[in-house]
Amino acid sequence: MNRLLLFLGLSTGLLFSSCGDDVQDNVVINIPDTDEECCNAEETFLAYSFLNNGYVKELTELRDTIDNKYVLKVYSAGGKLHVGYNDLFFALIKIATDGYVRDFQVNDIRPLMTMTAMGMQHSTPTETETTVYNETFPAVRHAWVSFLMSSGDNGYWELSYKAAWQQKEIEHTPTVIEVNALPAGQNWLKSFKKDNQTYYLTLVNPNTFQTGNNTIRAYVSKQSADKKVPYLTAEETFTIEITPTMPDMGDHTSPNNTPLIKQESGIYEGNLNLSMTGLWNIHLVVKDQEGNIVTGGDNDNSGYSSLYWSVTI
Amino acid sequence: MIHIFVCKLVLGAGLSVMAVPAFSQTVQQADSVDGKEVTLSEVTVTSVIGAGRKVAGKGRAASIEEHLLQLGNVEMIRRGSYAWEPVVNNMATERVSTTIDGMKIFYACTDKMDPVTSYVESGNLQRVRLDAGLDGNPQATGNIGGSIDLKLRKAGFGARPQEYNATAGYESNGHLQVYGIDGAFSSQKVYANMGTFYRQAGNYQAGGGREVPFSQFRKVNAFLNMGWQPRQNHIIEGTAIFDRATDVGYPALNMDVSDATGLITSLSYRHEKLPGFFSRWESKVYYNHITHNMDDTGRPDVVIHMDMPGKSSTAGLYSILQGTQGNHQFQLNWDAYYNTLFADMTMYVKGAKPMYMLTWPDVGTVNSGLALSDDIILGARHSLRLSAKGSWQHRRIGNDEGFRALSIYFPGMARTATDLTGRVAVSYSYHQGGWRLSAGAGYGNRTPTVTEAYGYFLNNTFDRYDYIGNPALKNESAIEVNASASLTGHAVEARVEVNSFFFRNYIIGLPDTRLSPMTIGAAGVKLYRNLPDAQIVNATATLNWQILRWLRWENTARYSYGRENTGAHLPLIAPFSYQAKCKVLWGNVEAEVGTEVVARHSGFSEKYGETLTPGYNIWHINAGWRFNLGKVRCNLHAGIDNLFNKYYSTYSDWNHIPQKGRSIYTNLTLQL
Repeated sequence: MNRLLLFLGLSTGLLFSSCGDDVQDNVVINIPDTDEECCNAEETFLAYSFLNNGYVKELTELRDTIDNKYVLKVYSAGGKLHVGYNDLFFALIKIATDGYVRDFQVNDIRPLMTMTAMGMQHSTPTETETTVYNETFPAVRHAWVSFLMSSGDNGYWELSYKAAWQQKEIEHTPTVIEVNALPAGQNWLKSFKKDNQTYYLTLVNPNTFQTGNNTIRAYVSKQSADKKVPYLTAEETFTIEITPTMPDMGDHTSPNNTPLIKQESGIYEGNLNLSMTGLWNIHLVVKDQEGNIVTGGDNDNSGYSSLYWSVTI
Repeated sequence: MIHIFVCKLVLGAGLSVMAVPAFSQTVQQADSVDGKEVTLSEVTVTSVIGAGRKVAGKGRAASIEEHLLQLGNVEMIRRGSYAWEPVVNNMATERVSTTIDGMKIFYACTDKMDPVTSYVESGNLQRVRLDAGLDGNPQATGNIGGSIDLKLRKAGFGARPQEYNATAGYESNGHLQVYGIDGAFSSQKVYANMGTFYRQAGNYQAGGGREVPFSQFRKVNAFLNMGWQPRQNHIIEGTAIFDRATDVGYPALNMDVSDATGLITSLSYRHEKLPGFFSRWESKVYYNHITHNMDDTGRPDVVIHMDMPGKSSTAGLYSILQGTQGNHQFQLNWDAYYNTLFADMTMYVKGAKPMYMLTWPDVGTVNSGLALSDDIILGARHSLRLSAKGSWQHRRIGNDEGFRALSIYFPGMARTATDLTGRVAVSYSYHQGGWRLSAGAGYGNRTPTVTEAYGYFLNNTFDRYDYIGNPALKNESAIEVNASASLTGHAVEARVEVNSFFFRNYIIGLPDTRLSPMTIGAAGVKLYRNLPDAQIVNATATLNWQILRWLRWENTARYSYGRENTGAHLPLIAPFSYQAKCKVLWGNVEAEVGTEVVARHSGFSEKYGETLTPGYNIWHINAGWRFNLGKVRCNLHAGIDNLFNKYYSTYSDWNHIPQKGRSIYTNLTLQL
């Protein structure tokens, strides 16, 4: 058999297609065995499942093509972008076969806000180079952007990137993207200043938080000297102490939370306990390597640090 | 067991019900088997005058709790005028087993607003049996303080072919109204009795006339008992009780109850007069389900509106064999049940997502036990009773979210718990002439309750702490010793009784300052902990004098003591009390005047959040008249409680909510 047929969907779909009634209703991906550009069947299946599970949707305005043979698609949660942390997923698809290409590159991701009234431009904390999102399906690459503000009357966001595949490079020119505000009770991005340098604390996607113990992740990014250049993660190492409280429940808090500690990959990780659902403020105290408080030492009227993320679970 | 006071309340419409031949035979047989060497304290709470026993004036119009208070060793924790929590030997629900005809049933409210006695009605019951201490009824588990078994009123075979009862009662204070009708039909093969009751009250007034807001309630109850005897001595019986309370106020708490509904069902098979070693065999399967909904919508100044529903369902069975051989009377009982408890809380904040947590994380409990007892007559003057029960229990947290939430406080905790518990008790009795001396000892332990092990931020309005269960608790155990002496003369009965409980790993909530409360305004968080040891002692002295054939004077004095290892007082230990009653019984008329003097609660537990309760003295008076109207037998009662309109509260009135002020009541029972 020189062709591998991969049927996705229910077995009933398989039955219909074998009857030849309605072939286009079924998802049939034909992958030539010999096509070494593309993933094997399992990787393709996993990549397809991931990108079509309904959670992520394509940001069509960011679509581009390479050499008219490959189409590069960019995905985000729900096909939307919002203030704070956003996952971006990239997939390169061979048009002729619908196969997913591996080992492509996407880099130099540049979000840029133009503030029309003030005539200013600035970027935002960004991971500019993609990495493989999950080793089991290397066809999907990942990066993140943490937007400082939403698109609106005051300004608009554009995003550009570069992609490379087999010595062919393209540049996706800046495209206007829509960045929405987060709903009430969510605030995932905070900033602080140290020695006149502005840092940003990005809480990584807390949508998976639930009652109980959660791994909490964050990035610390540093504002670039040229504000139009994306803000990369800071080389300095901090410790971020966390105290979750419920403002609607008399600042009820939970025990056994552990500070966010920088991991090898540069991400910060800690343990966060949420004792029930509802609105939680995660109060932050940032310390440097010597244990000196950098920010958050002040207390607001709750008695906790005035620097906090908010999540609603 | 000698000290073990088998106290009975006969709740029927009188001896006529008790005298139903076939049924009374079974009752007596059952009694003789668990008849223990006892001082039988039998209180007939009947509406029939002249039954020759102690009579409570309100008869069937009284609530179950009022009946229970007639029993020695029983006090009530009161959070309102409905659903009081029985306390036996100064131990509350955690250490007391409550069963209905041997059926396990568990309350569904995390705040103990619905002790299981609130899901039955006086009219459902024949009598209430209380076994104090570790020698519980065969189906009881975890009964360190005692076990209460509510015996249902069944018409029985071969009773009067038809009988109808109607009761109406009114109490001035709070406009309490009670109405009930029931009917019974009986033949040698089949019987059925059924009835319905309605009870309603508005806010009552404390002594001095101050209205106590949120003390109203409404309750409906219906029951059906059926029996079928296809062959002589082969008996199949079924029971169903539906009970629903609505609009129940709890002045001592921050919330009320919109509805509390219980459905209690059972089906049993009984074989009487078996040949051979065992003479009686009964097996029963049962199911009960309780739903309970708290409600704060009627309260002013609610900061955050909350929904707090709870559910409890229990399915179980037991099988009991009873027999007599020579000087032995023995019984063997196997029981098993499966109970699930689920409760959650949703808090609504304007403009934000509701906050949600599980307060009982859907805990499933399987429990199975084997109980044995033997009453041995050692000679003309000596007797001995032995009893033992061993139980196996397995618990599992059914809800993931609830398990994860508790794991915050107990990282790495187990989701299941398996325990073996048991109890043994022995008692010896000697009697000569009018003297009876007895002594007994026992040992037993209990597993933590679901609240104690897995409760999650249960606010206690008494000490204003949020309570979190502790899955790492050890089982609590106790050694009990007791002794009593009584002298019965021609006109005088005197009796002194003492029992002591020495606890190991006594379970109680202790503050954990590390933790932050959830309830706004709470004083802190308490975790349930094991105290190394604790001790409770109860002493009772009674003196009854039959002054004249028609005049009787009864006196009871009680003293209790409870301390934990640091020497601090335990909470909810009764102060010294003295009760006296003068009773007149003349032909068709009865009357009673009585007083209760309760000392200042100087032994209150400051450590556990109690404050001083002053002493008080109250009086009551009542009278009853029995007469016939044609074929209809009538009993009319009237009385006054709290005669001098005293403002007072007892040590066990939650947050010192005041007791009822003067209340004039009357009730009429008609029997055809």
